[in-house]
Amino acid sequence: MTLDAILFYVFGSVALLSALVVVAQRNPMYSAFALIVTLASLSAVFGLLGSPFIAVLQVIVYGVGAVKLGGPRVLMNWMIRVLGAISHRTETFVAATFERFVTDVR
Amino acid sequence: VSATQEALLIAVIKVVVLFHLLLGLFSVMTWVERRVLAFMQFRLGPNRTGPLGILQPVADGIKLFFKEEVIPDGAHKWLFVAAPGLAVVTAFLAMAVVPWGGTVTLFGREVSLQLAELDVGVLFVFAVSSLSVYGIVLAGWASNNKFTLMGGLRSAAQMFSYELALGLSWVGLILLAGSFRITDIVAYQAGGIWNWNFIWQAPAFVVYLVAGTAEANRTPFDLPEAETELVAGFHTEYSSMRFALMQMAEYVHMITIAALGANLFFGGWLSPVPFLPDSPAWFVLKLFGGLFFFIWLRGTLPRFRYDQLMDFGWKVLLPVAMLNVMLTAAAVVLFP
Repeated sequence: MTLDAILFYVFGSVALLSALVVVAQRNPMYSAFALIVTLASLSAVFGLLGSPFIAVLQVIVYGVGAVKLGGPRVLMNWMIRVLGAISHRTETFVAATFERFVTDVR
Repeated sequence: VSATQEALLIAVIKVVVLFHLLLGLFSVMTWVERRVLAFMQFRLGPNRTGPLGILQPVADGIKLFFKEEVIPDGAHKWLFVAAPGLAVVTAFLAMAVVPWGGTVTLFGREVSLQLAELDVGVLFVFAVSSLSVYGIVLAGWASNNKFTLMGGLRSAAQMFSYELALGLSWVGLILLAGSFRITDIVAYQAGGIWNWNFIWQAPAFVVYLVAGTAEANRTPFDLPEAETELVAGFHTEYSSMRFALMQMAEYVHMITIAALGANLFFGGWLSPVPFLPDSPAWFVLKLFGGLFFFIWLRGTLPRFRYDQLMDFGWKVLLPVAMLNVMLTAAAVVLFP
């Protein structure tokens, strides 16, 4: 096998496994993290298939989520806020401050 | 050896050289920053270790190596350990596509002073540098500490607001040069200082300067680690070499922003006047100019308040960048 083929299978299986983790995990924080891994390895697969433009767009559009509608980064913030994925001690404190952030960002 | 093996060998050598160059630059920068900042504040700064204190980074490094690594109670072990690694990897990755010079002839071979010449060079930098915020957010979350979490959240919100302006500030250059490749954008500026982009794309340059400072989390945009409110922000709980990794990621990010600025707006390795030859030395000069500018800012400006930061990003920088893109696009169409 060539180097490209080996890398393709590595990134392909990582993408599949982490996609499985996204739906199978109970902790939403892990799901969000696994989703980032999925997107990154998908982008690597696109790059290996010879389309660097789509590979980069994959990261920019989903990873960066500049429009703040989709994007795992937003998802992560939202989960910290809504699902209380963090420890109880800091939860209420952060919830209150994050509300202010959201209004600030808008 | 076959042609592919040779190409692979050259690539590996380039990776090793660039990596160590960046590591060296990082450690020198920690010393330079402390010294320059000290002089700006009428102090001396670290001047005891070696001549002029130049060995201070070595002493710091040795000290950090031998410190105890602390993982706080209730922290998420895996992510706590992974976060600094993620931050460093994304910071270094962006430098891979930034050219340091044209081509040089070494051992009878043409070698380009750039690790990977991607067709989507600028976009690649954009994608990778914006991924770097995950390292910070994860570090903030995994530490199980309210100050780190606040730092992480601030960092995420700040990146949202300034990334857009940063990306838009490059669009004008891309339109002018007609290419995403950084080398093409540099080549477009050939002919002397009056052809450089910082004159013809002055609004974009100002936006890049401000948004780049915010992107590198430098003063006056260092809200994620505001000492007065957040102890040390997202890296409060880190100690020993993990703390050093966090610092490294930050400095490499700053170097990336400065190097990219030198390439995109100051003609990279091109000489400012036609009668002097182009050389990588020009690039290094411009790079250090950019780095000095960052330190200068830190010695001069106080920190923004959070709502001011958001207002400025969305209500000033973004419209200016948009307007610049529109004007440039119109100019490219009307005066080809």
